[in-house]
Amino acid sequence: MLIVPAGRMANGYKKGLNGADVDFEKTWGILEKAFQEIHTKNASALSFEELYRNAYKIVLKKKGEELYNKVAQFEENWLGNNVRTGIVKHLTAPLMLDGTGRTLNTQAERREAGEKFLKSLKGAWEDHQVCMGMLTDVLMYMDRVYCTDHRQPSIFAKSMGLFRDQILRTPVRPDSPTLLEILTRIILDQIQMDRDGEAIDQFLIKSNVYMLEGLYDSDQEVEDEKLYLRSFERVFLQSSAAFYREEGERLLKESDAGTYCRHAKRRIDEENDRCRSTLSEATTPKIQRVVEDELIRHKMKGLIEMETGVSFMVENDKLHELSLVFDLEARVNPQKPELTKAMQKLIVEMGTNINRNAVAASQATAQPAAAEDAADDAPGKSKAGSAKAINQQTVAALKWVEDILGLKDRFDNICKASFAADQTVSTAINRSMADIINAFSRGSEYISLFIDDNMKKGIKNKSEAEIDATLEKAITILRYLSDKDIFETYYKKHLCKRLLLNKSHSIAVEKQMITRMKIELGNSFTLKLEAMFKDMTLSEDLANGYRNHVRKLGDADPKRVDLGINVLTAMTWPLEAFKSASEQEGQESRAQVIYPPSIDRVRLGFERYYSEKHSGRKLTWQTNMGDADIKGTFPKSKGDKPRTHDMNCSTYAMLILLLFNDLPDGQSISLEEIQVRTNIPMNDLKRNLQSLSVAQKTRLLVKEPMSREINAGDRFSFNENFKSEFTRFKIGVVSAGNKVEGDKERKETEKKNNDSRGFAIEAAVVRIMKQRKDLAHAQLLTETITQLSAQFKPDVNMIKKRIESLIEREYLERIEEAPVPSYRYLA
Amino acid sequence: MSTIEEPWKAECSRDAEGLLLEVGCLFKDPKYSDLRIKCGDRGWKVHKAIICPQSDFFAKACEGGFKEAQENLIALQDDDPDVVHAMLRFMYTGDFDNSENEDNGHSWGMLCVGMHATADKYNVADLGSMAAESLRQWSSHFWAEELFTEVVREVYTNLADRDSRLRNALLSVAAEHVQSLFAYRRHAGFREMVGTLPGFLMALASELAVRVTDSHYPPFTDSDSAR
Repeated sequence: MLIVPAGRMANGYKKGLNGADVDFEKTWGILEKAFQEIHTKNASALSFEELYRNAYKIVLKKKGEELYNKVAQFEENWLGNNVRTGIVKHLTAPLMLDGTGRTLNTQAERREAGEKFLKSLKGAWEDHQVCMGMLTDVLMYMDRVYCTDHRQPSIFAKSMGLFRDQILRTPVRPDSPTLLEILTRIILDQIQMDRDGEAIDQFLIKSNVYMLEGLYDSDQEVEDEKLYLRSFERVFLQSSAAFYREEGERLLKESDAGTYCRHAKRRIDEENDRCRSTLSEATTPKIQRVVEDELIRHKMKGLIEMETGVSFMVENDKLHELSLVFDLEARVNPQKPELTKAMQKLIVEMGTNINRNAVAASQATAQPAAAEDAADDAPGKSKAGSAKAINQQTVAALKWVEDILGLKDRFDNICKASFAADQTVSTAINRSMADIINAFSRGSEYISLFIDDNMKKGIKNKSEAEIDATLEKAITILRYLSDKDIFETYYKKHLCKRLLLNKSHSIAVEKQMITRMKIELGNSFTLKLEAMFKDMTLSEDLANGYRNHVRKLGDADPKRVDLGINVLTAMTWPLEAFKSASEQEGQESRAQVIYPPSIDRVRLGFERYYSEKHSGRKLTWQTNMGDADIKGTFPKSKGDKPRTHDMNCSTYAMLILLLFNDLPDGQSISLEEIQVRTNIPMNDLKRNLQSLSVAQKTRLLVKEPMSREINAGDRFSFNENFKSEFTRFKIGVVSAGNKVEGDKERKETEKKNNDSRGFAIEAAVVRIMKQRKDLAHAQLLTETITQLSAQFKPDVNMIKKRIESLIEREYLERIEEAPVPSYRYLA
Repeated sequence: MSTIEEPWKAECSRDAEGLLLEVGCLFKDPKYSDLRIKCGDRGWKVHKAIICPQSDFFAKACEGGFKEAQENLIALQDDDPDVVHAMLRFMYTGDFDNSENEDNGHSWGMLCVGMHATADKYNVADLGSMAAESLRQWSSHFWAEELFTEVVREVYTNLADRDSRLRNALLSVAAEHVQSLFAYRRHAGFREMVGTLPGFLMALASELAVRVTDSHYPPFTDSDSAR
């Protein structure tokens, strides 16, 4: 059983809860006096408990709102009357603007005055923070109960708003700017000094920035409405943009590109540091964007086009500075459009130059060649000149290839050293390389010539690695080439001559090259080339077989002519390579060449042997491509022994010389007679007679009358007085090596090429249509181009013509009712 | 995070209960205390580390720039020493019982009211709800006593009405015993007091209405309201 207590406890609580009504004015008086003490930094004698208790009592008695308003009023008065005047006092003359918007005083004076002002503002703000912190502690119960229940901002937030309104937003004097505007101006001024290299008190500014970051545009305290963002940062970014715009323009005029890059980079770093040390980290990305805009994005074009810009850097191999430019643009745009454009422009410029030089070189030599063309049968003296000219053209071709490779190496190197092997830029560089290589109409021929030259001479005495590098070079350029079919034509032609004339230095390297091309360009590309090698091997076997066959027959006639033979598959070999442009008509006459019996016997013998092995094949003798080793005996002169010489000459020359074997001494034969007895085409005949009777070192025949040209009615006789210091020599015939084509040849090659392209296009179109049956015109075009792109870039007009032709020949028909032009395959 | 069990570590951890007991014992051990609290004629030597995290009044008093912080002495002028004692004890031990004060189980109700008010004043975590719960239990024992009437009057006249926990506690007990309270003569005092507290009457009527509805009609469902 519990005993009812004496009432002490109950009374005790009653006292706590039920205490008499609070005298608001009196209680507020106590608080106000204490607040005064707090603001004058005399709080240490105050009792927290007492103040808390009084505020608590007021709020408990539902006078929270009155208390709240009283405190706000108190703060407003305090800030307006005491604090503001203290700050305004520091607005000394150097800080005030004159009519022109600039102060008259020196920078140092301005800085000092500004610092004083900033210090006083910083002090006021910090005091306010401390005091309001203490007031908030005392008024905790009011915040918790009154403010929460009535959705009022806490007294701390309220007082911050008061600080903003009373201190920052109130004009210093009527019609003059507010302290906030002045503060912004002063900070900007100090930052400008910092940018100019003068030391400023960064921490002081940072403290003021803290203040702006702690204040909001409205009492709602919305996070992105901080006073710093709303008022200061905007102005800061604007003025910075103006400053850097001006500075960038000035630097573009005054300094060189490398310095500009370094400066821009330094400015960006500086601004980042400034945000960290002086302003707010939140501004870093924004100011960075501003500086990047003004110093890089908007100036990139100007920077690149400067006199000391990118083209100067490339010309002078300023790799480091190029890397600076790259870094700058990479910073603002991962695509690096301006730099890429500039590099492409440079490559095209330099490449066009190379192309132009090559054309110029070929044109410089084209004149004597043209002269020869005009008077093919007349001036013998131009021959040496034109041979030299053609040689010069070959040199031009080699130079072109080397130059192009040099250009590529150069830009590859720049890309690697300066652009961090950037994908975008290197792709663009490659594209431009392809453009200039394909812009050069003789590219295919020149590349093939480059390989030809290396196969014949270039790889002599070179190590495997060096040869490898050379082949790689050729492949490198080849990769860019779009008209691979033209290249194939030239390569076949050149390879043909190398193989048949035994000019190739190493068959192994030739095969290596083919293997590389196979990897690079595909099987179909090298099919015919490989067939050529196969023919060569088969021919060797065949010749050996024949030789054994003859030996077995027991017909060991020592005078029998030995036969070396190359059996060539007709479609694989570009036999026209051996014809000059002027002897197109020679086709039918070739078969009718008249052989002397000793030769004809061998020929027939081989034909017999061959048809035994392969029945049903027809052999066509390409006399114009053969050569012969002959032994010539010359009568002794002035008591010497008869001299013998081993000579190598063309098959034609052999046939001519054999005529003179049977001729009595002192007799001569006319040109016409020779022609009739040998049936050698006139052009070839003249050419061979020229080397036999005109050329100094191989004048085995005497011509009557003596002149440089072979003319109708000329007569020839054996030159008994022939002398040579060599026992073995070669009777050269004009035009045997691989040279740059003449204009006529080129036209022919082009024509031939167009024809074969036409066939390729038709084949592709038929293939596609056979599969698709119906197809729209546009789609057919795209698919055809895709199919053929490995070989060449087909001309759209040519495709259209081919389609027309296919329609005419009733492979396709137009679909009349189709909404878009379409075709149907006719089976 | 690793999910490997680490039984060897579990054995190394301290017995949490023992630790709590030790903390509780600190209340009576002034050895390392760093703050004195005075109220009326009583005084306590306490530890800031225990007190301040549980009440921002004490925290601010100790860290602010006022007299208390320098003297490490807080004098509570307007509070009841017993309530203060119970509050401090609660802060140390988390216990809320009257085992120390024998004899006055009777007055416990009033103490709860005082505790609740103090918890609100000094913003002591968990103390308010603890006091409300305790008052409910006390009321269900002592509803017939005169002191219950006193407590109701006290709560409805003098206590801030923003926290309804105490009121709900009293209301539910009153509703439970409403027949007795309004029928027997010995509760005339209660009825007289109730007459002066329209707020309480209103709340009681609502509470009763809910109870009547609950027992006579099936609870409302969504389909009912749709009809």
